[in-house]
Amino acid sequence: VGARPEEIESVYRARYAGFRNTLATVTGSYDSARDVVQEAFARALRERGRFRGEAPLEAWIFRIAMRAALEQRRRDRELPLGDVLEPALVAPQDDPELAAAVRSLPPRRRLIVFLRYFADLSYAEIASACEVSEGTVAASLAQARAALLEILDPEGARR
Amino acid sequence: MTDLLAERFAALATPADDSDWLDVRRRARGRGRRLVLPLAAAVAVLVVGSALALQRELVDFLRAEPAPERIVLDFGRLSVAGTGGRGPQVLPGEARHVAEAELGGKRQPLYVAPTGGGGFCWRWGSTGSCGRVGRVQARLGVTWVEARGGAAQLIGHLLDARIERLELVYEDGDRVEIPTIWVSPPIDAGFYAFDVPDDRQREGRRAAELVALDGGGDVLARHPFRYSDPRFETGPDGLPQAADRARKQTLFDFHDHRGERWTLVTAPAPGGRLCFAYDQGGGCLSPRFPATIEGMGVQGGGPVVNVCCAVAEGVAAVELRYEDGEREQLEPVDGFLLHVISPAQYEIGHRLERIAWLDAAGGEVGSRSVDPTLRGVYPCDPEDRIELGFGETICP
Repeated sequence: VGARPEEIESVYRARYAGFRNTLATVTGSYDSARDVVQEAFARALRERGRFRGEAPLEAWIFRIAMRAALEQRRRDRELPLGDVLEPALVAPQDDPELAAAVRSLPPRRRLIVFLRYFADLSYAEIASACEVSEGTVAASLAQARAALLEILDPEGARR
Repeated sequence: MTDLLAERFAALATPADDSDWLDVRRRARGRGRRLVLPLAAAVAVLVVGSALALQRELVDFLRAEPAPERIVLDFGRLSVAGTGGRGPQVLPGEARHVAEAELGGKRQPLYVAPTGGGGFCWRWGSTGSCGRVGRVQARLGVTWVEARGGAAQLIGHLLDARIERLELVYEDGDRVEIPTIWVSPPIDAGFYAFDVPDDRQREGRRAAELVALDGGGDVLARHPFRYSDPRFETGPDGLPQAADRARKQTLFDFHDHRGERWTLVTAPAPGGRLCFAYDQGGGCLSPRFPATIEGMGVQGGGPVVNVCCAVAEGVAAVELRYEDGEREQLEPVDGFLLHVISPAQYEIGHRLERIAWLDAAGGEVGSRSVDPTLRGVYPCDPEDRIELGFGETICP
């Protein structure tokens, strides 16, 4: 099937900031996330013939970006390949309460939350990006929201 | 409930747009690959020659980092929009990041792009200019920012390779050398940027002139700083502070076809000046700079086109001659004229093509042609706008 360069550029224009902000939670900084996003879209351009159209293009590129982010994190921090993904807010000091609430979530669920709130991806796109079903995404987000609101707005969460 | 989370996450996301699609494309082509200008082979030889001969810091333009996409687009817009598509014809895709300097307390990159005609344009911080793009080729290009009555920031380019030193001379005679950086062909020019210290912005201690010297200390070019007289800074009514508002006169006050009000006022000012202001600007006439024949201007670029302002002594009428044969005779009031051209004359084939100045007997004492094909002067419907590229459009 393949993706056309202009389709990839269109995703870049629409998703750049969201991808960067989400991947910063994996790489640890906006600068390194920017580099990852640039590299990911470059790889997507080079390997666009391998896109099969079975998933949204956004999700396919995000998976490339995620691989690049993990590669960079391993390189920068010399972590072993089996390192567990632990996405975290880049500037927890800006909202310590939210940062603490997010840390209480399982790592995989955190990533789904970040993809939803930072990258603004749809359930289907998140499902493809994380290689889970849409139902899992929906359930994960519902549970994550309930858990976060229980900490951030306990009165509202119980109403 | 959901909004609370969305708002708190949104507050943490950095909104900065540092996207750069050109960088993605470069990476996709392979790291280290550079854009190549047709002159590349010849340029490489020249760079070595220049560097050996002059023993000074030289940036190899072709090896400099390509500029980010937002800068490329800025240069592109500059090229196409600056003068309605007749700008310096920058080659925006060839823009490079050639240097950095501390300006206004921040590291500011210098970006330079060649033009199709052998010149270049540059941008440093919020300032920019072009070199070797017109007939006049000043050896020393200076753009400067005035603050607190003195020059606060100097940025510019040097076109003469013999310039070895650039010195800023203060009003009290002190001198300071300003570092320069030279960029190889096809740019082949020097650049400088300098923040003038705060204590050097008071009268008596301010920057007096910028001097470019060759290796032997001979002056090759100089740029004196002429500071504006605070008395002639304009007030809210468009007239200078020094104007005698008690003697202000309103010479024109009317509404155009859209119902918008137009006024032109005059007031005397010290030194025998007569200052004027209207909705789109103003100025002062003086015994040394009186109104001249052909001095009137045609102002467009907005929703209407107007003709204004000072009319030379001895002119009894100004005649506007249009492409379709229409003529309008306008009578100045106390040496001034303000007229909004009717929309019936905005279409190509009906536009103003000549202004003639007539004496009391109806004789023509002077005339000037006005190019009716100049784009961007007359308003037009959105669908008639011409695409210039880089998202810029212009009325025909």
